[in-house]
Amino acid sequence: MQHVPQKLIDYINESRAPLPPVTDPDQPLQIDSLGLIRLVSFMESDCGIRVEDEELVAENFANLRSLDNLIATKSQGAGSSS
Amino acid sequence: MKTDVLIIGGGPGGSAAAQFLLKEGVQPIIVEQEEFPRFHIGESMTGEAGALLRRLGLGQEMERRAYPVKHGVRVFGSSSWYIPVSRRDENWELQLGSTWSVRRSDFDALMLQEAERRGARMIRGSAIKPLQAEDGTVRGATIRKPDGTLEDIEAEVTLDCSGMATFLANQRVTGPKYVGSYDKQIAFFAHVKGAIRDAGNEGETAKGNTLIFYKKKYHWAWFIPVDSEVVSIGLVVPTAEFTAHKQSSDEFFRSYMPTINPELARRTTDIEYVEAVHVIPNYSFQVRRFCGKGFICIGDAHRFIDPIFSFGLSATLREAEFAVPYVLDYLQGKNREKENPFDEYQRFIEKGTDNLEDMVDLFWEQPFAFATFVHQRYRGELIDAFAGRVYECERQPSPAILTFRKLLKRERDYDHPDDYSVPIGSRYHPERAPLWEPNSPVGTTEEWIKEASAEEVA
Ligand SMILES: Cc1cc2nc3c(=O)[nH]c(=O)nc-3n(C[C@H](O)[C@H](O)[C@H](O)COP(=O)(O)OP(=O)(O)OC[C@H]3O[C@@H](n4cnc5c(N)ncnc54)[C@H](O)[C@@H]3O)c2cc1C
Repeated sequence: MQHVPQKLIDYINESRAPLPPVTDPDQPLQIDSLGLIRLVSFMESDCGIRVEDEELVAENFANLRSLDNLIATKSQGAGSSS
Repeated sequence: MKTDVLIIGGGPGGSAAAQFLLKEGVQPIIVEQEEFPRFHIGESMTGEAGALLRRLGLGQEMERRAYPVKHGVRVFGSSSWYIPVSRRDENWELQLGSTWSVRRSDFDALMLQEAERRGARMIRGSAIKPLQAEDGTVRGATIRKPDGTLEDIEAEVTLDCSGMATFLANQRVTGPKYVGSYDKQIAFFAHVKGAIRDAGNEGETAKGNTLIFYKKKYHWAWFIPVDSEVVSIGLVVPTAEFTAHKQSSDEFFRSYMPTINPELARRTTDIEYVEAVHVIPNYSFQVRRFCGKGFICIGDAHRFIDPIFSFGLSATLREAEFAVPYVLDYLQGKNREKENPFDEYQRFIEKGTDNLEDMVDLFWEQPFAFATFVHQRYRGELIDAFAGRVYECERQPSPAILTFRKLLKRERDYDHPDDYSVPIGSRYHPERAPLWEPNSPVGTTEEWIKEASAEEVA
């Protein structure tokens, strides 16, 4: 999950509490929709990842792998190296 | 008999049109076929519908009748949210507002009585045929009275406010009537006592609020208080879901409704039905060229999309108000030489209603994106839209609506004088146009594809 910043993973695990932290990239995140909306704003404000209107489909936030794919398309485009 | 304006149908659209005309000194005739009070569905109003009633001077009467005060709509589903009723002040700043939900038998009677009290002439009877000049101009209608006698009422302008009876469309005066996107849905509804509403006096938990519950795509329910005791509960699902259950409407409603959402089940465990369950299938349609020489169709008489966001009354009332200046111009002899004297009005209404359609479609297609827009990205625009402010053309389509279109991969093109009101599906798939015709032998897109490919092989 090279594109998902650690603080986003931490945030996801906090949001899932009391569920245990996610370990498997294909494991459903199990965050309710309001939680997902907050997740999007955390990505934007704290991780500097802009989520486009078109990307706001639940499938992009299903698990760490889909999230990683989503972020990967962005860092490619931006030529980011971090 | 002769009159300036003949209004066919004394529902909210017809009686509001009459009251706005009377304000301008025009005394219309209203023809209504039913004895009021009569049952009707469509009980929750938007903020703009409430504001319009206040403009008509009916605010106090609405309060006196103690209709439930609606402060907003709460939506419960995989995404839950709340949208407050709002208004815009003189500086176009958003302010919280309130509106009402009503028992329609009572409200419609009030509106019609008010139109009559203010000077409209009421005639009981059914419009059965339009009167038309040789060039097709509508010149009034033939009315059948309750005693069976016929009478011709000649008019300069005929306002078709006949609701889903779509009088002029059925008489082929308008362009074709197409089925709409939600035509495969069926609605069941009943008035009940003992349903648990919220207890607050304002905001999100106000007791008069409208609640919407959904289970999955196209499966949803409404909860609308209509007085201090009775709540209107509706269940809307694909018709196929209902037929698969092989139950009567009543059995289906009672057993399926609580499964829509645990929160709805909790609120309806102990209800008593105060009347039988009503059913309306295939309610979604759209009439092309709904204005023309001597006529305008208002409200349900030309288009109904879907009840989910309670836009029906709002649309019919606002259309009635918007139509009046165009009617006055026509009465003064303006625009009569035009192919369609009301083309500007028609386009204005069509654009506003298209905005509503885009909202409903996006809600079902992309519920997560929709909820995010409600919470964060387009909250102001959506608060406006839920209030029924979708026509204000210098601000519409709003950035929210433009985004919806992008997500729906849809463009709205208004450049062709005749084409713009083609239903959205048929515009992008002209080859499927037969599907959008009423009484089409083809039931679904899937069936059509199968048939079309079989034909290709043959
Ligand atoms: C399931 C469902 C739920 C809905 N829920 C809501 C809601 O919560 N909120 C909302 O705002 N809207 C709702 N609506 C929509 C709402 O019911 C309509 O938009 C609204 O009633 C339209 O008003 P109208 O005046 O155009 O037509 P109507 O209210 O239907 O009035 C038409 C009148 O014309 C008369 N008439 C018809 N033909 C003739 C004729 N030939 N001669 C003389 N008279 C005639 C009829 O008797 C009737 O009184 C809902 C609709 C459905 C189907």
